[in-house]
Amino acid sequence: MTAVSRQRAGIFGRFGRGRSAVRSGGSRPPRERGDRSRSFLVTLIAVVAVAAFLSPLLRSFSYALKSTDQITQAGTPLYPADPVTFSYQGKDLPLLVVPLPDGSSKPLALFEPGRKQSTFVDPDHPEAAPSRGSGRGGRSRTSGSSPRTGRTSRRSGTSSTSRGCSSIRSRSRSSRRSGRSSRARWSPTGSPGSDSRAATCCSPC
Amino acid sequence: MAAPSVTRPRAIPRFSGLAWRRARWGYVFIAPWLIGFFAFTAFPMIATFVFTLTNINLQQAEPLRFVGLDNYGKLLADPIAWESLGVTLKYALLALPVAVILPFVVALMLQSRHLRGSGGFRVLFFLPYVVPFVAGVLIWGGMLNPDTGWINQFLNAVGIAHPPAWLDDPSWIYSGLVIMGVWGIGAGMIVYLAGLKGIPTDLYEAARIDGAGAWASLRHITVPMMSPVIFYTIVLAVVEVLQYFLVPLVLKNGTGEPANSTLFFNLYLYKNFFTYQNMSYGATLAWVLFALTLAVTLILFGTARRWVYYAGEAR
Repeated sequence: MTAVSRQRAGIFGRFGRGRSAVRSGGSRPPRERGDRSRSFLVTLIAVVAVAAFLSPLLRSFSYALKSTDQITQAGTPLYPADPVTFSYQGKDLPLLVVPLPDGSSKPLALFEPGRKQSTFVDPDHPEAAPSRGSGRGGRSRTSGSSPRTGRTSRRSGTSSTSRGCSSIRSRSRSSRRSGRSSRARWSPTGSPGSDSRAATCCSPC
Repeated sequence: MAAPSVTRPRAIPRFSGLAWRRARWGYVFIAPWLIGFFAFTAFPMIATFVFTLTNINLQQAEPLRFVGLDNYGKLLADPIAWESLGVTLKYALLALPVAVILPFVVALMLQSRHLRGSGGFRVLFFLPYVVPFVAGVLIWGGMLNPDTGWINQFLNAVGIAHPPAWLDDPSWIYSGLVIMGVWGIGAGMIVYLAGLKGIPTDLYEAARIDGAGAWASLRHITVPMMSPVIFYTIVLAVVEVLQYFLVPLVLKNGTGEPANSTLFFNLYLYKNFFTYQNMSYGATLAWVLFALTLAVTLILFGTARRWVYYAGEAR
């Protein structure tokens, strides 16, 4: 063993990263194949561990890019973003992803916030009969309203449309049990408002 | 055959002119350290011990008088002192295994020949150690926030509907503090890595020839050869844990919330000194903590003879 190879064995020996297996022809010795899968596994574990270990740094870095509004709200994206709003009667309403009594979630514009029950405008069904629901027991009741124009936009965006209003308990029993609650929708800062459209809409619910 | 004669150097009397001249320059060179030690370490220590025997309280203008062991008696009857000691011991039970074992496991992983890019991983694992302390505590405060923290969001995502309020629930606060402490494994990891690099590879080669697997090598070679480093880490971790108070001071503003569960012994000591300005009682708490730390350290040194292996040491 030469001095160099001895040194190499010392450095890359038991704990080192030496490549001991010599490739011959096209076939690979089975031991090396096992080594590679073990290397992949160990490296994968290390990557996951480092990702978890450094996640607070990533979080603080993303905080450095966010506005105070975004920082103080739960469920905001990692990148800097503004809340998506829905203009209704000249007012920008925040668009929230609302858990519905049937277990699904839907983006609705918050028209009238309440402690136990809030009134929402449904931007997806501007032509539908406007509705107002009590939300009690997961059921809703409807009442009429007249159309108006509008479209969804970011907070700084322009007017919007909707015809459907629904009043839903802010957190239904089922959502409370599952820990789900309404969350604002966000779009990246500087991008145009998502889901823009125009339609006839309704009067206040 | 005559025994070979050994010529010994002539011993120089300790206070002879030559010995003194040689020693004088030594004393001159260590004088700055000696002056610093006596002025800033030894003298304050003695002064605080004298304080424990007096009634110095900056908030009450009582005349200074000698009170004997009254402060020690007061400490024995002080329920908050005992409660804070209990808080420190509870935290120590959780934090010590993590502080000793986790850096060792990470160091083993980084030292594995199967790991690709171990240099990069080494840097990444050490990285949080250089984050300023207060910033680190505040970052972790956000991570452990029950509503917006990533840890609870992750737990929600994996189906845990009601994750704990880490820093607001007295039964979870110690786990939260231990999680925060994980960011401090960098120094221990480096020490362990240095120790692992010092283990002769011949031992592993011999063990492999004898049929030892990875687990047997770890148990019979790595751990015994690393025992001095493990011992060193345990001693440092014990001292650090007994002096733990900065994180709760920053996180909870030193209030001891929730329900006095973060009122560590050292925090209580700090509050006596700087909030209540009761110097005598604060000094008493400090000396009790010193005695406790010394006792635990001596016990550890006593047990070390049984399980710490020093290569080349006659046993």
